[in-house]
Amino acid sequence: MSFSGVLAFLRMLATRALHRPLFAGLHDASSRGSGRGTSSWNATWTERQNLTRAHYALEMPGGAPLLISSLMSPTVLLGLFVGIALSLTASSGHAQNRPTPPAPPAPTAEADSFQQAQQLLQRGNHERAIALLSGLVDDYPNRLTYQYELIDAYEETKAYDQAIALLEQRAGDTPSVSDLADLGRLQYLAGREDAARDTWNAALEQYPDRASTYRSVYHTLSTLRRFDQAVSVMERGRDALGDPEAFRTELAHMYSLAGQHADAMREYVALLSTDERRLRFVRNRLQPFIDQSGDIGDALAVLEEAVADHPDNEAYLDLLAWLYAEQEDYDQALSAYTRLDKLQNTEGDRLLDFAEQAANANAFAVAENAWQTIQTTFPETDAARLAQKRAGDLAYRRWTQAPPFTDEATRFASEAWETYHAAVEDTTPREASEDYGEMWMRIAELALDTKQDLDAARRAHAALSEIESYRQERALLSGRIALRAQDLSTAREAFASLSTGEPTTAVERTAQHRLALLDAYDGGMENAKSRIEVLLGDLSAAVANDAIALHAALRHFAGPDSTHAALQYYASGMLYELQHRWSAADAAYEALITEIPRHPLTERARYHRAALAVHLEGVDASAQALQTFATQFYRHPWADRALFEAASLLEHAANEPTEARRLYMRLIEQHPRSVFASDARTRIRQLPAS
Amino acid sequence: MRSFASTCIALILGLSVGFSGPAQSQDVLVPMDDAQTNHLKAYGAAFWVLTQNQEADWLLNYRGGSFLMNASDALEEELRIRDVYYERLSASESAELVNRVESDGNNQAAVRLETAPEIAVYAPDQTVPWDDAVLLALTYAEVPYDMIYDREVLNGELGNYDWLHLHHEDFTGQLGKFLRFRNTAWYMEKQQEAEAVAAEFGFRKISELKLEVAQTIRSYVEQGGFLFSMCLGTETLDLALAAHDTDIVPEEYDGDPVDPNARERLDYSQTFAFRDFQPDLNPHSTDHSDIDTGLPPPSMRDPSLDYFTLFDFSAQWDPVPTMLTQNHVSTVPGFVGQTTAFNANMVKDHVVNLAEMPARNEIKYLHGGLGEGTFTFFAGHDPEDYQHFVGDPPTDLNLHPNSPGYRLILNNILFPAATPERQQT
Repeated sequence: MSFSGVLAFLRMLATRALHRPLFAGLHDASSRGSGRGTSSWNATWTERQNLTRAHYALEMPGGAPLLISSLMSPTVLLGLFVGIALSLTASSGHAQNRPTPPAPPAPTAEADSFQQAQQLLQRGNHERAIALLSGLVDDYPNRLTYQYELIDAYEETKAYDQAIALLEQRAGDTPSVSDLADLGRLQYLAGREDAARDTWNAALEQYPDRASTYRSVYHTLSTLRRFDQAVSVMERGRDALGDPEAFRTELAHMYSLAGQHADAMREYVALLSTDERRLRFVRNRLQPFIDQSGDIGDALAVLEEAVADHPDNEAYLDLLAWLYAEQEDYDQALSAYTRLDKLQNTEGDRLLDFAEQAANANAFAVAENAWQTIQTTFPETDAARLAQKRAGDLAYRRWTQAPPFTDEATRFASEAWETYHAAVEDTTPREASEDYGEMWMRIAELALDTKQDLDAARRAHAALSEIESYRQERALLSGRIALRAQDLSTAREAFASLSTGEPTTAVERTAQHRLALLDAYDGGMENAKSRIEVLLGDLSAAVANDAIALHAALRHFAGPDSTHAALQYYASGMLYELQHRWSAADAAYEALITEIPRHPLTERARYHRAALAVHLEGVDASAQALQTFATQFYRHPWADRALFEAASLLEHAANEPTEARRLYMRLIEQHPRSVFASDARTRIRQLPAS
Repeated sequence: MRSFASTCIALILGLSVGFSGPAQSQDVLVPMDDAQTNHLKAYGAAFWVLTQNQEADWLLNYRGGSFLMNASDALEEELRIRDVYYERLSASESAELVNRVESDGNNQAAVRLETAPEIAVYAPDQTVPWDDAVLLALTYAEVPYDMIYDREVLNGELGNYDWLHLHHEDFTGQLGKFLRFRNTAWYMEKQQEAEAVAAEFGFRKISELKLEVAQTIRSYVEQGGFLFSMCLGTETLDLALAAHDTDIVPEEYDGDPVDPNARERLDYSQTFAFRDFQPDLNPHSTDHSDIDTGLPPPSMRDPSLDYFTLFDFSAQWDPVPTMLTQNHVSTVPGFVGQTTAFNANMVKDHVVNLAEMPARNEIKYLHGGLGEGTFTFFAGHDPEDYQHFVGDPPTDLNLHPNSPGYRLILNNILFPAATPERQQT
């Protein structure tokens, strides 16, 4: 063969390589270039291996893919290497001295026909392509490429009988394993399943001592999604080869696809017994099957048995703990992670991560147990301190989410209070951190809002002096404590220290609101108004509702004289409420009602009195007062709010669902466009009608 | 299942039978025009009345297709809980209203709703990362329904239902042509489940299973069932039926190549609504056929510009199309889907065009009869999410209580409950 002949042949192979992956059997179905049978190409590849005709891809200096075939004669190979050498020489020289590349070889009629046939196939003109390929096969009976292409073309037209006939003819009396695998595939596609099974059996019997035999048939079956049969082939191969580790990962995956999760787990357990580093791989393999319905059958039992038999195997235990958690069996996961933590000497770190996962999944008891375990098992460690804080965080979060005036809210507040205290006591100042500051801030919140413990709030304030990043919060806390201690000048001073022209942080905005309220309390209505207007720019802020309420009062209820007496009573009531001076607040509102009875603010004052009655007279009295307000002032903008709050109190704090439902119904009947109506409707559907 | 024939018999009966006048001393009018606060829940309330063995009158073309019902404390409580606006009418006022609606010359009609239809939604149990607009609508409107899927259909359970809904189903067995998702858990589960059911019923391929399901649904309609389908469930239903004698499924989905003569072997005589279409045989394209016109032209691909218009029908002579197009608007915001709109050239002659995309030769909403039953196809995925992608969060209908697009879906649930008085001659 001449050098140009070599290049022509190589070009032909390269063209073919561009049309289909060289090792298509390693790709899944979707990676096929033109929708042709992967299995047939896989079989082709395998056969080429069998015939010592493997191709290797090289990269030419010019970048074009080049295929070397051992099919070629030594002369051809020599020519090829000469070609490469020439090319390398050329590329190493100066560009201007680069010799002119050899002229492309003249196309042969054979190559042209083949190329044309391929183009026709791509265009879907199967009839003409088959005619051309048939001619090529007749003219060049030894060119396997043409035969493969024709078999593919037949298959594409579902002419399975012709494809089978050609394959059988080509294979002759000594079909290779891949021939038989492919033949079985074509028989299967032709609907002859029994014949296909016999053919695959014949393939397996041909070279039963070669792993490639089983791989070839298994690949064919898996592309046909005959997972049960593919599993049988691999199991048979494993027995025949006497190698219990053969096809381990493939078999495990096939078991999963066939729904044999316990068998899959046995393979993974065996894999991990030899290499624990494959844990991540195993998890990734299992994940899709867990994500589906979450049911992996007896796989868990297999793993549990493995853990029982090998309690020191970290990978087994790690996988088991992960599986429990993925299946939301948090109690079992806690047990497994506890043992894992001990086994790995991670001093609570693994448990800590798990507890967070459980808490986020609302498995509160499990999370709390995990934190408790960390604290008792690894005291004095960072993990123990963090566990304590997170336990406090959870209780604090549940307190903020619980309906007010309920036993539940009280219980969570107490839990948070005690847990945070225990946590900060275990922390030395030198360990002061963001976490430390956050705990003290929450202790202060609880001290002011639920415990009425100003000393505790002051201790929190003092502790925060250790942490520079809490400077603003500390100043705000200082103002709040002073406010509660009725030291208004100190409170003003503290809030003023945070005052800026345009407050941007939550702390600054809260301070601004408090200053406005103090101004109003002092009679400085204009100052209060200008302060509060700044806050109306961001209605998403936490203090926005308070700001809007105060602004509305200042804007709409000034007068009746220059002393703004009604407004001042009202501001007093609001300030006293902020100070938790319920009786004083009630008295201020009452004074407004009795002394300036015709002022429009009296209606708001009545609402406030009804709402704060919960502190003075209890839940039922407050609910009744709120209903009365809603009845007497049914056109008042707060009538719907009064009804909703009364219903909420009855539902959650008084445990009177029927009465609560009645009030929710009344709300949607009387105030169907209320912002509370949607929530009321939701609650109605949840509550019994009688 | 109440047959369509019995419906037709009722159609032929005179006005006097259907409207002997409200028996109660007081009635409730649920207007469906702009005064309505929650159009979608109003359908649920009307349905609820039927489940209480009460009747309701659907006043076609009167204030957006209003409902007139006998007043009761329970009904009024339901209406309030659902945030449905209503007006009380005295017996004489409602009688006068019905007479006015029924009078000639105003293109209005009153249709008696008698029995709550049994509703089945054809959808898999498994969670799929897209949402079914009708499931959303029925759930939001608090209309009871059963979920059925391949097993139930093939086991003959369709006969238990008056109304069947299909949404984002691929009856060609190509799993939505979502090849790029083939390694995701939901795709794998869907594929495995479909393969298992196919094997259970003796089919080698999913496409064969789905064809059997499609043909069973066709028989159900022929025997008097009501079918409503949306999005991919419209196009692929006809595609599968037309391809009953060939293979249009690429190898990537069923393991063997398409029939090279598939295009010539399509049998349009088996389809519900479409003819002369061609399948898209590219496995990597999510398009299934040229029935779907695809996304609007770029200049129109904007929720604020993309609208479709509802046709007006004679309420007294074409009550069924009129029922299906009741709305408080005549132009409805467009929305796309895997099947966005139907190519008008491929719609069969006997099919009624209910809504079209203006100046685009595209039909959005259509209706037709097959045997003793009827079918209604609505293109697009989610009327309140212009372009809903796989994995997008579900639409919150609390934010769209007056959705005209969802109204079109809900018109369909009441249509099987109706006994219209006249029929187009």
